[in-house]
Amino acid sequence: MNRCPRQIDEVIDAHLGLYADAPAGDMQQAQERARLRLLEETQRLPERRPLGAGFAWPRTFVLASAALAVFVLTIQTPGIRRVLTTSSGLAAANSAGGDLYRESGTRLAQGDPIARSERVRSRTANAQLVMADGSLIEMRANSELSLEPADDGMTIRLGTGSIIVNAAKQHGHLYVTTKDVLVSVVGTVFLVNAESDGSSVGVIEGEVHVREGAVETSLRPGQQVSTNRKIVARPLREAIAWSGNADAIRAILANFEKGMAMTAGPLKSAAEKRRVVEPGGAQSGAVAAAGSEFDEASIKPCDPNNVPEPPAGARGGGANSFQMTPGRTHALCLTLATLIRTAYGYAPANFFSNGGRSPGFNFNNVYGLGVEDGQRVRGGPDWVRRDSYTIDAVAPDAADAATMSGPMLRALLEKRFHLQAHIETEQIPAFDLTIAAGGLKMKEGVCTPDPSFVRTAQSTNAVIRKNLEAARRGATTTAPCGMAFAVNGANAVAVGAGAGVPSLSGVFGVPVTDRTGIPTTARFNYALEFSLDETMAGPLARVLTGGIPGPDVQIASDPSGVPPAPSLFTAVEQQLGLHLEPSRAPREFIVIDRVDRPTAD
Amino acid sequence: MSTANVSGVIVKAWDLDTTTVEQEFERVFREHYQTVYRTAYGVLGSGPDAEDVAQTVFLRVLRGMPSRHLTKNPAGYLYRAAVNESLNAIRARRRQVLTAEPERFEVPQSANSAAESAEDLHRRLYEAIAELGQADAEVVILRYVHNRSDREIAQLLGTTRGTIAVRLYRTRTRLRKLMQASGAGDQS
Repeated sequence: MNRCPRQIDEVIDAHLGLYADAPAGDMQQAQERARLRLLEETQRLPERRPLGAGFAWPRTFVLASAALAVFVLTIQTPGIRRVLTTSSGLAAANSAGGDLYRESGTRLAQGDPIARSERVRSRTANAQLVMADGSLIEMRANSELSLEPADDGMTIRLGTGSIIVNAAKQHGHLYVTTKDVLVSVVGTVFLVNAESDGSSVGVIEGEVHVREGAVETSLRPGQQVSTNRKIVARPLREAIAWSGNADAIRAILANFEKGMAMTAGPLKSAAEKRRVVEPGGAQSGAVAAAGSEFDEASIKPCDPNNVPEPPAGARGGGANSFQMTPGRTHALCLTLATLIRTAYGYAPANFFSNGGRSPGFNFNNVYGLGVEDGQRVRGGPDWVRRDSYTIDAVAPDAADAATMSGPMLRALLEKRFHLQAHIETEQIPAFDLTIAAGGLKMKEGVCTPDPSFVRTAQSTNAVIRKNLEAARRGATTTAPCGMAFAVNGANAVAVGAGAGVPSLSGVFGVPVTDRTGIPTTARFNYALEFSLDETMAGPLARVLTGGIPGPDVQIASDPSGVPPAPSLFTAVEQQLGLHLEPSRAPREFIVIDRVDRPTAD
Repeated sequence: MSTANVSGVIVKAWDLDTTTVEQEFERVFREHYQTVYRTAYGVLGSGPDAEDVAQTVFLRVLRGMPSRHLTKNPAGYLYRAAVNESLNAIRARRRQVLTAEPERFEVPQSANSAAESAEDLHRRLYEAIAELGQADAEVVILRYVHNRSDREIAQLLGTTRGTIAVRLYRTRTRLRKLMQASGAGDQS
């Protein structure tokens, strides 16, 4: 199975540039469509200055696009409908928005009728069909459907891809079928998506009924369901991004997305539905007893494109931050996995003492909780680790911080996300830290930090740059007490000043047990320099994957000129006289058994 | 409600006079659209997806003028935005396994399997690159999709040639490991 590196290199070379030559014609057409879309945007924004002489969109283009819009809205659709009433077609192509093809490969022209059971495929986005009753079907690129009369209306059979249906008010029903769902509507706008793994349905306006087997679900605007947990990954407003009317649809959805109107999840099985209606909500029996729940709580999804930044010049705040004051808990844009980790009492992944248990929170402090990446919370769908939520919760004034961040938060997650989870313990790779055969090389010392030092990324860099030579000799420095990290070229550099035996758990992302026998009260001065590689965890991993180390972490003026340092294993032996020995250590994992998108506030 | 509010945002970000803002946007769109599209196409291998990405990038610029870097280095800014959006699309696509790709619908069953294999390998490579991260992807795509030299890449991304060389070497090493682990090349 394994190929040699050379063969892998050939594969890489041959395929990375496979699509280096974009078809010029397609690209130019796309550019024109983008130009049109951007022009619409300039006109749509209510506060935008009207196009003036200074705006360089071609005037003829402006006129052409305006004319096109009028044609589509006021002439074209009724015209097509007249065609339909005089033909046997169930619908007709409205190709102004995109290209439609018959199964034979013949391109459909404007107004061409589509016969019963005839399969039609869209090759580009925004292809449209107009049905005889006036309903509009917008097809995503590479979608395929056919039409069938039903006893009491019309059926759209969606083979693959996505469609947005704007169903006209009608006497009968309009149905959409995929291989595993039946959607029935009377006058509404909705999205249906058919994939190999299942189907999903989302409602933009009105109400639809979705049947999967014997289970029927009613959906309201903003709601989605899918037949497979894996394919409900995006909020509805993102799922319709391909539509030519995406902004109008988003505006409609915005009216319904107050609080948490938007939910998504698999269709409930009949058994689950029964459980839901049973008194007492047996499915969430783990919800904490009264007295350990918040009085009120709001859970809102965060916009991934507008993630809150930390306040300028301050530490803490921004996304992934957690703060409590008496009676209140505020979690800002945390993933559910991070919330679960917190609620179960575990600290961020690079915290290894006390079995990784959180040291607890104090009121009024702002804590950065990072993003749980699977090192503590396992299982559940992808969105658990991707989508973030802001929680504002109110508790009785008497509740302490430990209760709010623990049992109350956990009860909230169980109630609103239907979270069910359990703890598993595994033996994971770890290291033991011992004194190397050549003896300890760190020099005992104390820290004498500059009293004016205030820890920021920049000041830490400056102090490390200033003290690195002295730290290499084990001399006393003005570096802050403890161990401070920076990046020097492609190396990590840590300066220890009056520091204990270095804990390298955070560097590896696995437990490192101190078996040196050195008293915990002993203090040392040292510099530890090692090359960054992909085994690093925590902040060092972010340095690696976040791009070329910038001035915020980089102390070298010319990073490419810094010679590579030895690996961490070698560096620890050569520079500190310590030895890392591979071992195993137990680690607890929270395993998600069940979770759903949050229920409405 | 005056137009100055929206234009003001643009002006603040671009440091331009209001009268030239829209001309400037038009210039940026005209000069850089194809680079953005080509970047997305090179990563995603799909015209409609590339169009989605390019449209998203420019809509964001038009709506928010999100960064002062746009003024300083529009080519670099838009390129980075295109890479970012393309990687997001790859991640989203991994979640949404399409049942039929356009080529497979249109090409008869006798289509040679090597073409499909090449597509699959391309897809797998860029999925691996998406795992590596934005910065690595930026360098790789400039080299392999846009065929740029180390010097040109360094200039566009505002860094040194040495840094680019090191990053390409490391990225390639990591990519090799990832591809080896995923069995790439086994069928080639």
